[in-house]
Amino acid sequence: MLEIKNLSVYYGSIRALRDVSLTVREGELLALIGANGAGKSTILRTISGLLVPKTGTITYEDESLGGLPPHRIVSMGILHVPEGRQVFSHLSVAENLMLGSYRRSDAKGIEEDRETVFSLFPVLKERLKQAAGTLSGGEQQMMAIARALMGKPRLLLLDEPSLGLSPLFTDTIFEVIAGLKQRGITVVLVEQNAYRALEIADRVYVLETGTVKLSGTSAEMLANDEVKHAYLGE
Amino acid sequence: MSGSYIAQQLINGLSLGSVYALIAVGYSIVYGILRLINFAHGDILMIGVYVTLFLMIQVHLPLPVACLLAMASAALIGMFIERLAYRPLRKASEEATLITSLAVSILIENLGIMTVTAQPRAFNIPAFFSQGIQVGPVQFTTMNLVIVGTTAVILLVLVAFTTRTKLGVAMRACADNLTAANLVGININVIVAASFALGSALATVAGVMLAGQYGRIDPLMGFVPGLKAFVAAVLGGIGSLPGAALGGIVLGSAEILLVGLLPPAFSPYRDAFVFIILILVLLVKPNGLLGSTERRKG
Amino acid sequence: MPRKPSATTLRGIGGVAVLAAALFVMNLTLPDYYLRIVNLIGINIILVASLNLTNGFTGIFSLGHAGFMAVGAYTSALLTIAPAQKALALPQLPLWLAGISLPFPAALVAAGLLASFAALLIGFPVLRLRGHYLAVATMGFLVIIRVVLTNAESFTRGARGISGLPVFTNSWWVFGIAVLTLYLLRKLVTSAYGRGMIAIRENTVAAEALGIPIARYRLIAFCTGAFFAGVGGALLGHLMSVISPNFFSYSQTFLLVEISIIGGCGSLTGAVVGSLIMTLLPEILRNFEGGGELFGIALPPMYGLSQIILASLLIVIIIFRPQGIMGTKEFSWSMFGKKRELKKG
Repeated sequence: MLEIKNLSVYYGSIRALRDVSLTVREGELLALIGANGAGKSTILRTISGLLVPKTGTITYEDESLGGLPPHRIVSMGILHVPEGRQVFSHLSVAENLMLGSYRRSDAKGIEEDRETVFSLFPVLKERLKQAAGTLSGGEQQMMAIARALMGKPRLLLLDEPSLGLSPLFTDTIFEVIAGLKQRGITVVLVEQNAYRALEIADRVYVLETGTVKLSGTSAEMLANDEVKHAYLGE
Repeated sequence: MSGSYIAQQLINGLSLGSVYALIAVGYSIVYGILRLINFAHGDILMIGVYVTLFLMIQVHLPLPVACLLAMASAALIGMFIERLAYRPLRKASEEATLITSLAVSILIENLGIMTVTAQPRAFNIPAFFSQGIQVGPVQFTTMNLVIVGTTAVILLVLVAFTTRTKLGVAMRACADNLTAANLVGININVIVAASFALGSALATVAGVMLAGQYGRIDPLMGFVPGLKAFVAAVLGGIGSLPGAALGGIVLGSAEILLVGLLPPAFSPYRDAFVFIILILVLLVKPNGLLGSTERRKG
Repeated sequence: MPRKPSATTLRGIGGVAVLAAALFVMNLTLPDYYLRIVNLIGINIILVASLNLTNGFTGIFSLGHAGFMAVGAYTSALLTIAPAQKALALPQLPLWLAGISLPFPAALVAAGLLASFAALLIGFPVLRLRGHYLAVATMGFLVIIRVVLTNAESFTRGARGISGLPVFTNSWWVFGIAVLTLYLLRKLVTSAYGRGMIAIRENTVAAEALGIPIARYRLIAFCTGAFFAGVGGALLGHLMSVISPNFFSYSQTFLLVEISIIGGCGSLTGAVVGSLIMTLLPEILRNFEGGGELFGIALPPMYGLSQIILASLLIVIIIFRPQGIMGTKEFSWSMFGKKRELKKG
């Protein structure tokens, strides 16, 4: 579905990704794990068009994404829930969700997705009129995911959805993420909590200082001594 | 000092404030999204006024029609300037964009001098507007009424636009969080162009109001009202639309009241008052009356 | 043992000697109009070099420079005009001021000091602001100064301005002070103070963590810049012999900022290069404003043309070469050998 080849990305003169290649298969839940600064978020930011690659290609269903502006990429069905949630904090929850479907014009589909989102996160329905900035951290994370779902994603990029959340919220969020597959959404999950990620992921890439170090199925990774030692703390 | 005198000054203040409010809204929308203080905003106002005058005199259009067409031209010019001068500087420093907007301002003013000369021209409005209306001891003109009424209608429409339409909500979204706006698929360039268009059109209305009151226009007419409207936007909390409107009205009223209440010897100092207010606001309440707290840089 | 002067000092003395010789020749040969332009270049060097100290080196983006020039020019005018002349032109002056007539150097120092004092007054509150808030607040200061100049008629004759300032300014004064300004500012920016100022520009938080007293350093830079602006304003007044509030307008501030950006605002050499280009260019362009003929093509009068071209040039430079001609580089003799760059903060 998505193919990244020899990707290198720079922040100014600092190289954040070096020659990264990876594949996302239709319908899978792919996890990217690794330490801070390994380049996980950079990969997501480059796919969604926030960053422009220096070299390398990103191909999504036979179309090249390199250098396309973010709004074009959203139109292709790739939605990105960034780290730190990035809600429109002065806008109401209802407006946030409305903007989630900004590029869609199928009123009926939008209405259905709203209902779906409310069934996944019932708390949002109670908070519709509230400014998003006044929600709790966990509620904001839910809203950020809900907003992305309103964009009818075929590929969803999730960056650190559990960051700073209580265990209870983390459970809820991971439950929802695990269920996205049934809805036909392919997911790329970036997560520091490697153990939680491996629990629900089909396949995993391990990144280190801007390069892919290892890759394989979750089961393989869980059995890998190196991964166990470095990322699972065993 | 009688109550009716103060009431009279309040009406004058409200009409000047309405003009500032309309200009300030344009500053605020653009600043909210791009963190750009567009010093050329006041000069776009001047262009709008000249186009209005041209359409009235040369094409014999009635004032409201001329003004509407001028709004459209100003909107186009505003978008053109953004595309040419500001878009290449999206990632540049605050100072670089500020200087550029000053350069654009000087450029427009001198283009004005070159094409229509620095000589002031008469801007005559239909006699209907200068009719006096007497309510008890307070006297005002139809023009006052039209200014305040038009501004009120425009601001209400603006509120509806920014809360009820997709484009309007997207505009607020861009001002709120540009990254998130990118990620929900909003084309930032479209929104920025729209905000320049909107701001420029509103500035034209404000300019026609100013021209109608003073009866004279010249190529430098926009600069000082533009600066004062910026003060109004800061006063209300730059980036906030209701703040810009409120700031404009408060500043206009304060200016008129200060001039009206202080001994006449002080009235030439009115421009100085405005900037003393600015410096005080920046120091005491830098986010303005309605501004949000978290976004001012360092 | 007497210390032998270093090669740099010798070259510096050589450079000054060459400049003096050039000025001597120009004074003998050039007509007044051209000599005035040469002097304007020198005055702009003083003004822009001092603007670079605040805007470029310390990162205080000030638009108030023309205000300090005005303070300096009016101060020096009131201190030097002969009492008999003041009695006629400015009959309402207070007695102590009406009777005063200082020699030029003393008036220049007073002009600088008063401008510095104004900077202290305005800087104390305003320098707490950052970025374009600071820029707008300093522009507000300029508006206030202009309003005061226009209305304090008993001191300034209002919008009519003051004429008949003694024409003290000549190229010896101008370039003597320009060289001195550059020398002093160079000393300042390469001193520990200067490195502190650059550190503040580069990273205020880090500078604070290093124990640099930010507020004090910014205020020192601001007042020092204002001092030279005041001196420059006074020189300008005594060159033109007429001053009015319109001399010290937004366009004046804008011209200085423009020269500063085009030359490279983090460089004193940039101030020199910028002043040279940006003083000559408008003069050349101005010749075409009244219409005329270029390569046999008759041109219509185009008032405002020079400003239009300069403003467009500035926009193009900001977009394509935001660091200006010099960036943060300084002229040095080794430039002609291997390249050396003044390292930032």
